[in-house]
Amino acid sequence: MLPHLDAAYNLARWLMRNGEDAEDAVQDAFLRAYQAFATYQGGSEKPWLMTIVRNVCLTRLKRRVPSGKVVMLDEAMEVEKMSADIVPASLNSRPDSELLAKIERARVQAAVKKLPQNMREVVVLREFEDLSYQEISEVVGVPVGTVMSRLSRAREQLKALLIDNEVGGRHHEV
Amino acid sequence: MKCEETRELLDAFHDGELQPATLVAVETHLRTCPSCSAALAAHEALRAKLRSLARTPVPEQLAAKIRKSLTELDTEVRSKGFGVHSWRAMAASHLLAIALSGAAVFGLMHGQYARSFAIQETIDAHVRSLIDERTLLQVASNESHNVRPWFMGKLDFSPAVAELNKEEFPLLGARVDYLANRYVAALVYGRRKHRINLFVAPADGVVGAGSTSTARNGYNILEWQAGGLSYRAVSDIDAAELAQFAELVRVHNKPS
Repeated sequence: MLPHLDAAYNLARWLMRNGEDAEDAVQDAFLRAYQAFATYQGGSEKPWLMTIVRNVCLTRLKRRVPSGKVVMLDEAMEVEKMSADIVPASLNSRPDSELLAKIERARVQAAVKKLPQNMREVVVLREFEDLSYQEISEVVGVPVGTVMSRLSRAREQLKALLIDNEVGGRHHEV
Repeated sequence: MKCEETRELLDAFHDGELQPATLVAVETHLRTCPSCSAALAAHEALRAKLRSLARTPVPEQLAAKIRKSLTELDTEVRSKGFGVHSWRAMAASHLLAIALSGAAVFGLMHGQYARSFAIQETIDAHVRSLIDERTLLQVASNESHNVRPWFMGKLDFSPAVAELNKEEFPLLGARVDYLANRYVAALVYGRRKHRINLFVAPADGVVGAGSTSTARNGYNILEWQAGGLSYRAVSDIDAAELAQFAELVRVHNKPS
């Protein structure tokens, strides 16, 4: 079993915002990890591998700027399509809760993807990969204080999109 | 604590990153402040939403592709004679002579990972034991005939307890600790103001001859196996002193 492959793949997906590019980046990252092994200084393995994955992704992103927008568009359409699916259901009867949950997840996913890269990566490493501030600071290469402030700003932004909106929505219904 | 400070620390609080004293201060404030606890509740709601997103499963062909290219790379490295040095370093630190077949390559890499993790765990256990004098020793005694029987019924093996020169490395006592997924004996020795933890557990898997010494974050660790048991000594004393300690223990435990 390749260690931390699923964590690496998911980080790459979040950074590349595209499955195919993520696969290429992860493959590249594992080759680099293998080659860099002689210089591995010890310490925790997961942050070490995540650092390599991140570096590979960022290098690749620099080379391809425009396609990121195309992916965002695809996803926006997907969310819209799903929302469209639910309209007839909600008109006729109670909305299907499974479908609602699915839409909600798509909304959360879209909100995270909308974050600028430097905020998105700290959210992913903290919330999905459960890394500590110290580990995130090693992966991203910024001080712990910066990790905390980025995380804080990212959460404000996500809350505005996902939580406050919801409250606002409820107000409308009332 | 005021709301302003609390808000600034809210993320760190939410992420479990606060020191105990600050943590208590934030908790106290949250208990009496509805607006701050509402902010925390929003954090928690957001986390629940984020964590409802499942990981995307790794496509099967991706793992296969990576394995294949690592195997190819390995073959290339060997045929060209590149990287002999790094291989040797890896093999030496690993203590195992593994046949470098493609399939074994990742096993080796993973083994190295695992080893590094084991080292970190050992240091963590050592540091943890020193945070509070009360957690360091569950039985305090300078005499092995008090310490050894204390382990009876607590462990599924019986560690030898070496009583060394009281001037050099006084035995201070022992405790049962938990390391690498099992209960282990932790024997505690002193060296001037320093402490040495000697973790003893049944040796499982491949047992290497000789000893391995590692330094990390200012701690020295020495590992060896003898009589079916594996020993890990860890301390902040210098490597030479720790080696001297290990030698004394080894000599003492050798069946005469």
